[in-house]
Amino acid sequence: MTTLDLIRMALRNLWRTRLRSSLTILGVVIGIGALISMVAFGSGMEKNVTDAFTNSGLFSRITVTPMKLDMNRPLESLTDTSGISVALDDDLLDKIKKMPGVSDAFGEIQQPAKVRLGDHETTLTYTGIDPEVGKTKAYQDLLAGTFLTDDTLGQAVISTDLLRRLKIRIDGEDMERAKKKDTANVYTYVHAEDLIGDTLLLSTASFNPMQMMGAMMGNQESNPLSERTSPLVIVGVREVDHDGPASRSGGDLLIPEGYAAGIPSIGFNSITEFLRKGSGGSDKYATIQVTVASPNDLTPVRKELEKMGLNVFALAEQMKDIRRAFLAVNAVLGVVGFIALIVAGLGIINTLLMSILERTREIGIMKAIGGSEGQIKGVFFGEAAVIGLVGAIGGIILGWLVTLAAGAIINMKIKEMGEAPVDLFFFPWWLILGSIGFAIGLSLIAGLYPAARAARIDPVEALRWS
Amino acid sequence: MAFIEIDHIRKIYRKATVTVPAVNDMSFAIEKGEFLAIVGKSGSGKSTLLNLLGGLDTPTTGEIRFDGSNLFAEGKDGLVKHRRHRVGMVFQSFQLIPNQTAAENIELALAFGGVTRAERKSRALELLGQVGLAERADHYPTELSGGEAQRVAIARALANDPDIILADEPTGNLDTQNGDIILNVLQDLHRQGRTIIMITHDPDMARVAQRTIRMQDGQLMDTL
Ligand SMILES: Nc1ncnc2c1ncn2[C@@H]1O[C@H](COP(=O)(O)OP(=O)(O)OP(=O)(O)O)[C@@H](O)[C@H]1O
Ligand SMILES: [Mg+2]
Repeated sequence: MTTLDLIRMALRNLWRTRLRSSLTILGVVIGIGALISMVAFGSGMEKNVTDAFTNSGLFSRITVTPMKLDMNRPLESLTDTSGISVALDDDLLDKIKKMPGVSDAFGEIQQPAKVRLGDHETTLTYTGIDPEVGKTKAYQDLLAGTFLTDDTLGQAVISTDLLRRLKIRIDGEDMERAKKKDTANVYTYVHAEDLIGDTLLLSTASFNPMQMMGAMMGNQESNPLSERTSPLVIVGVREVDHDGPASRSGGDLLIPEGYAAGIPSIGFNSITEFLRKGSGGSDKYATIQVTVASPNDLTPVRKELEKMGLNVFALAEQMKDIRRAFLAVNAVLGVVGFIALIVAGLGIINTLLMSILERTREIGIMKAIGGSEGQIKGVFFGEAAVIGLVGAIGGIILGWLVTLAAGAIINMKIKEMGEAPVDLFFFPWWLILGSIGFAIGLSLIAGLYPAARAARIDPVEALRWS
Repeated sequence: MAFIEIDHIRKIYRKATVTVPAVNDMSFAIEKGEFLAIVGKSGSGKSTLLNLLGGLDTPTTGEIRFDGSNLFAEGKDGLVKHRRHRVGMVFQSFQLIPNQTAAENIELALAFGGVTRAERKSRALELLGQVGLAERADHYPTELSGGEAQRVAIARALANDPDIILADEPTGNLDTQNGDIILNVLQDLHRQGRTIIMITHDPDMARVAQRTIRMQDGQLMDTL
């Protein structure tokens, strides 16, 4: 009696009662189908989120900012600058660039400003950035034009989000609906290409200590703050989704770092910097963006930077929490599928018990002609395993079809709303193999009791049946 | 030492307050190659004794020794081996598996006996040939006459070449003509050197046996 014999016998016996068998298998198919589509949905969500992060290049990125103030500490400690003695300047940037595991680092100047384009204006925080940075993954989201090309010129890369605040929307295929909704004609609709070469006016405030003196002495004409306007040529338009991972404060307006350094400004845009100014250390940059060579370098580099007394943020490390959250979501979705499978398991037990009842005499015969308890168990395990295997394969196909249909319907709605279609479901290999294994395992567990019961049948009693 | 020694064997069924001594302290011996008939009134314990000899049942007390070793000493494994290789059983109601063909019924016994898949088919046909039913190999039990079905059952009993054939009223469901055919087959097997133990109600059938024992109330009444 080989395993092959048992499987052949199982197939035969299942075929004999094909209606009952197929209903039992259908139970497993539905259970596995439910489990698979649920988990595929969870995995799909997780994949969409992680892929968005990975593609943005923010995974190998550490953002360095000056040491944060601890608002819980007593006030006098604010003047204690021992903890925040490192200034974000070129010296530090050089030092970071030379650290092992760091592939690149660049500083960003951030200042508050007012911008005007055409008839509309808004306030924002602009970022002065090295044009070389345009080569990195994080800034590959240009709709039109190029990234900054020259460190000394007044160039600007603007975001669609900034344009929206300036009452301009980028025309596209999905804009027809938006236009119809915009009955008050609030927005101007233009093509992204048409904005290239246009001039954006950047107004910054600067602080003049001499005027400050005058103002304090009662001179009405003296205003310590003066405004200066710099014209910037738009060279590129970025698609920045403010809900997405690429969204970061200061990303709406990028200008060359060298040019930004020449714009007179208040010189600080945060309390931290103000306090740091007083202690002598001077920050040239608001943040330093560090790119590590490989994901494995992330933690050591982060620790090294923290040791230097810097405040460090790495998105990749936040990802652990996101992963954990998805694990919980997948677990909940899995439990729903699992319950469906438990029901399927009960169906298997029921079918096998019924089959044993009908085949009592046959079991007696098998024992009389030399069948052992183990072999008789094997016959019923074989049937359970076949139910599980066929059910699992059917369940995978069903789950796949269900997700295909659901995905198509949902994406139709998404398209109607003017968004890009997404892959909502994802079938990782472990889900496919896992569910086959799980279905067979469950079937065998379901077969445990019926098989034991079959093996225990008294052949003398069984043969008296007729 | 005889081939088979039945030694103070007892099988007592208990249900609530009623105890039925189906086999009640029997002792006798069977020689190798003997054709033994067991007769007795209904309920005298004949089938119970045969099932004990076949290792389908276990006694309340006592031993049955084959070649000197107690059949019940090795537990379930010993009984399975005994059923598989030492005895072949034939029943009044044939006991063929209905959804399997004649050949498949025999092949199942061969499979339990450890015969490889490749050999089973030809061995089954050979066995069917021995009982004159080679051409009925692919027929299902319902497509066979009672006599034919019982010959298939005998072929199956021979599958793993046992020394002993245990037959419980093998002709009980058959007319005289078919009963004679079965009896002839059993006599052939006896001539080949097999030990035959057959229960029967029919005194004519018992006549072909070398020895007949009569049972009453679970006990050995007399030997004819
Ligand atoms: N499981 C059981 N529980 C209780 N009593 C039983 C059981 N099996 C058999 N008996 C009893 O044991 C006795 C012997 O039965 P057995 O079947 O051995 O008789 P038999 O001689 O083969 O009869 P028959 O010629 O009718 O086949 C009977 O009285 C029967 O009722
Ligand atoms: Mg009987």
